[in-house]
Amino acid sequence: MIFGQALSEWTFDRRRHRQTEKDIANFADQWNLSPTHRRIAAAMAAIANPDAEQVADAVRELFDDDGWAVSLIDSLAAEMQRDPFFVPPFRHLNSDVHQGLIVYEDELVSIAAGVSGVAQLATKKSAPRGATSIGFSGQISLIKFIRAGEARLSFWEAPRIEADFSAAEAGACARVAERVMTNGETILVDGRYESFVIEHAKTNIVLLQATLKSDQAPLSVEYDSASHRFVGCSAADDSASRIQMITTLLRKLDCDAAFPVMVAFLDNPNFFVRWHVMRELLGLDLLAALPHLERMATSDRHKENRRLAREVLASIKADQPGLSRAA
Amino acid sequence: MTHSRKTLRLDVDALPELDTKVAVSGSTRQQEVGGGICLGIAAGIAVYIGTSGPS
Repeated sequence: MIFGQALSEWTFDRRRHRQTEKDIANFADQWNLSPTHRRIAAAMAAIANPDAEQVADAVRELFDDDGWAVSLIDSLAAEMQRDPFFVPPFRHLNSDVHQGLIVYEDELVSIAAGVSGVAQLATKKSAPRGATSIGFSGQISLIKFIRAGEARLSFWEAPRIEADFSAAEAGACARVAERVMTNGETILVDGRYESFVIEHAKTNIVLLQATLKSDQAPLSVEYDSASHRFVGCSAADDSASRIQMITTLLRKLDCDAAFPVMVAFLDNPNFFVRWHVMRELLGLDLLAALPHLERMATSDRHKENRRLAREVLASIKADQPGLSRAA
Repeated sequence: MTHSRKTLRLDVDALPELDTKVAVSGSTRQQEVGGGICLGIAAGIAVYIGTSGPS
């Protein structure tokens, strides 16, 4: 963070604002037109059958020579040293232990370069805190440790997160290995059943992380780090959460015209989206929703959805016996 | 069950929810101990999509 005279001078100098903005735009243009960016795009475009395995193979080749990443980080550092108000023109991926920048993204993969700070890691590990989790992202990631920082990682496994995932059958996770990473090492973490924890590091960790978009699980799942038991889960893909929020909004607005559009979401691959949308449809127009509820009760792919649909149907029939026949 | 503008509607808050409660993408129930999600997905406090409140 910049305080004092430098901030004051820059804040009141519009010419410098414009110059900083121009430098940021130029940097973005140069990166987007660079041979590296074009090489990544070409490698992704050349994948005939973009399943996770083929995308991972292509990314691994791109990661073999990490000179481009080091060069990119050096260029960013030089710009920020020259102008402390220069902001890297990339989307940020920040947490309490990691600062990353998404340097490439398309429909198959997102690639981030980042640093995990040893001081932040130490602070996180030693600070008083409540219960903690081991997270399984549900996504397949390829991680290259450009500078491994002599990091000691523990590796964990859990029951695979599938489309029919249920909390009752989530089981527990287990530690399966532990080792010290070396500079230049690349690991594939299948977040559908694998995870890792940075137990310790001696210096900052510089890494490239590719997150594959194909074959991802519907959920990210947490297990308690002490008991190893299931704690909770969240949607792995933000589009699922967006559908849930917008359908709730449409129902609260009594938007009857949206009913057919909402019905289309009953085919969503995520079971929790399907049940959420069904609730909203019942709240919008019971008679129109009833055939869909009956179908869900018999043929939804997830057993919790089938059970809840049957419960609601039974309740409706008890309340208004003639209603289901009317529908 | 309520009638509104001649359309039958169920009270969504009274409908059962999944036993497998699913939070909003990118949220966690507890702080991660220091692993893959810390490096990727921005973690926050769990937000479970619900429909409680005035409707």
